[in-house]
Amino acid sequence: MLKGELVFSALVFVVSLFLFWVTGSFFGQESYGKLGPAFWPQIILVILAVMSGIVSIGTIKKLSREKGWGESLMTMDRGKVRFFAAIGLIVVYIFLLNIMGFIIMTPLFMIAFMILLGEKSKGWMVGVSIGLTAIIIILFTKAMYVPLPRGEWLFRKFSLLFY
Amino acid sequence: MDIWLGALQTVFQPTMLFFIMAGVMLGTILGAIPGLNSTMGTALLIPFTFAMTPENGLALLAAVYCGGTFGGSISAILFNVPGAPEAAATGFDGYPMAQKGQAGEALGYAIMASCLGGLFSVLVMTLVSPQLAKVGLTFSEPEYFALAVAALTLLSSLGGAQMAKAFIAGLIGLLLATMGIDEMTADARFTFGTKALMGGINFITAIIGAFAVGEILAKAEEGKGLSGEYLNIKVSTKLPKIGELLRLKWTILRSAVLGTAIGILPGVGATTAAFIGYSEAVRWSKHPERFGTGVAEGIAAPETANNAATGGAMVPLLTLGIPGSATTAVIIGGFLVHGLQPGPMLFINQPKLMYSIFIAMFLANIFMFFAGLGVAKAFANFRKVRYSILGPVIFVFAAVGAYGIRNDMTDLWIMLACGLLGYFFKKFKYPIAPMVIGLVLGPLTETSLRRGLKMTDYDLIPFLWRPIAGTILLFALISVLWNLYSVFIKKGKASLEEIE
Repeated sequence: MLKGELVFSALVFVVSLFLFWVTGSFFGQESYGKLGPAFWPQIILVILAVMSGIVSIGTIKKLSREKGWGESLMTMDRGKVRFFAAIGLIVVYIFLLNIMGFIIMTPLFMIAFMILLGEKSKGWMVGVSIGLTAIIIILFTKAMYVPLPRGEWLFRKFSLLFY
Repeated sequence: MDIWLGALQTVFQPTMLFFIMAGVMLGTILGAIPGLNSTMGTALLIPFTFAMTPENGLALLAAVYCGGTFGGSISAILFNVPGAPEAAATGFDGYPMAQKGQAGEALGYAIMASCLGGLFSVLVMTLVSPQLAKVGLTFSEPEYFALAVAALTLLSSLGGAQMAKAFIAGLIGLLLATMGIDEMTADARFTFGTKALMGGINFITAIIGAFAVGEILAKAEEGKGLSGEYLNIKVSTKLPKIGELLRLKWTILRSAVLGTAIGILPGVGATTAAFIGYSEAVRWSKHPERFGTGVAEGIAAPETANNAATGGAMVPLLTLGIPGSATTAVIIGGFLVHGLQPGPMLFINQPKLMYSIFIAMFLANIFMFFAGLGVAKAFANFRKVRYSILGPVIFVFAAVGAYGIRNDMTDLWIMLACGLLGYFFKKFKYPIAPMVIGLVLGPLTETSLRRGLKMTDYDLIPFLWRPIAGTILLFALISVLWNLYSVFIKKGKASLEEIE
């Protein structure tokens, strides 16, 4: 855990240095005075780099004291598999939402996610996923006029039957 | 007086009463379910308030906030799993009392104390807010900058030993707020050439990601409790008798005053209030040794304080536009979706709206009494809360909410990115609240600093040398120094790890 913590704080440190470099490309218009668009982000990034540096050094000291350098970052247990699978599912869902549409993707995604989280009751899975999709479609498209993604080609035609 | 009558008329309409009641009920349920809380609840509800009038939408959000702050105590008492962080202190005595077979009594104390604390703070809010708004009208850029800095430093320095991490969280929030087009020069910042990021990061999307998606990812990894909590006792809430309440009068009054005052401080919310309320109750008690074994004071003190903080936290939000807690930061979103900017001008432009929020919160605290009784009963007999069902449901609500704000798929990716950030924050013990407040206060802090410095011709001394701005900044500085002092010198542990 400590090693992961170190990686995170070191990453914040490196990213803040990188973003500080990026701020060099912000050109403010002279008429707006001396404080251009880079002024405020640079202040934040300097303090962020200092703070994440302090946290990283603190974690390194703690790691040395607790002799935690041996711990491996890459061990895959069931929890980690579930975590990465959940991210994968979410990425696929967001990616396909515009292609297959909300009405088809949402129940499929929900059932897959429920299986991933260990749900066993088929009735609950199907009932909740279809029920919630229906409720959201009615609430958002009919009551609040928020256009949900309809998808493309055949999927679009299918979605148009409902909203 | 006319404004009050107008506000009363607005609030006592059936739809508004329904929204307040539904909001309290929903808030209590969200609060009671571990892993859900009123911050996430209000964030998920904001997209639904699009279609409502501002009065109804804001009353709903405020009611969820009140209910959610109380709801956490139900699961803290019954399962020793606080449903929300603000209820953590309630479990210290609530759970031991439930273990002694007095779960009903413990819930009764929690409900009663919550209502009294909430009502007290709403009363203070109603009296103080209009006056403070008048002072707020005299504020200029340097004062707003000072207030925003105070909110951020106060919140971070209260992180104690985790101070550096809290500061990092706040700074990340401020940094995220700078993405997109610069308000003053129209330059693109951190967009990396993509059009999608030009509009910046909508803070509602970021909050939904950090709180809801981050939590879902953490729960998916944890694996524990996915199949639900079990409880094998039948519970019926027993309200305390008048005599018992009178015995607790000083505890309740002390916590109500403390909670409201802590709530008013920008950036500090119900969780801090509850812990301070509890520790003060121990300090003033004649029998401090009995705390932790299931005493009524140990429940009444934190519960009064955390609900008192809700009304308190609304004060800086309504009067100055500075959120007093993470949930009130989210409620700003409720104002923004209706094109309203919370702050002193709202008391002049929309007085009826402001007074209806006061009355709605007053009613919410009264409804909370009944909602508390109902939800406690249902929850105790509700054997299973399966996260394997709940998690995907929350995710879909989060996704639709994030998408609905701008009808833009980019927001879903931003939500996922913020979800990952929220997950790592949780895993490596970085507090999320400073990030949210940083994100909300970012634009205000930056523009007030840049415009203010322009006013003084880029001279820092006259910018800081203003009575109110100077005092607030001094206060912020003292809070940081005091924290450093207590970490480094008082405890005699001068090492880097301590402030990390």
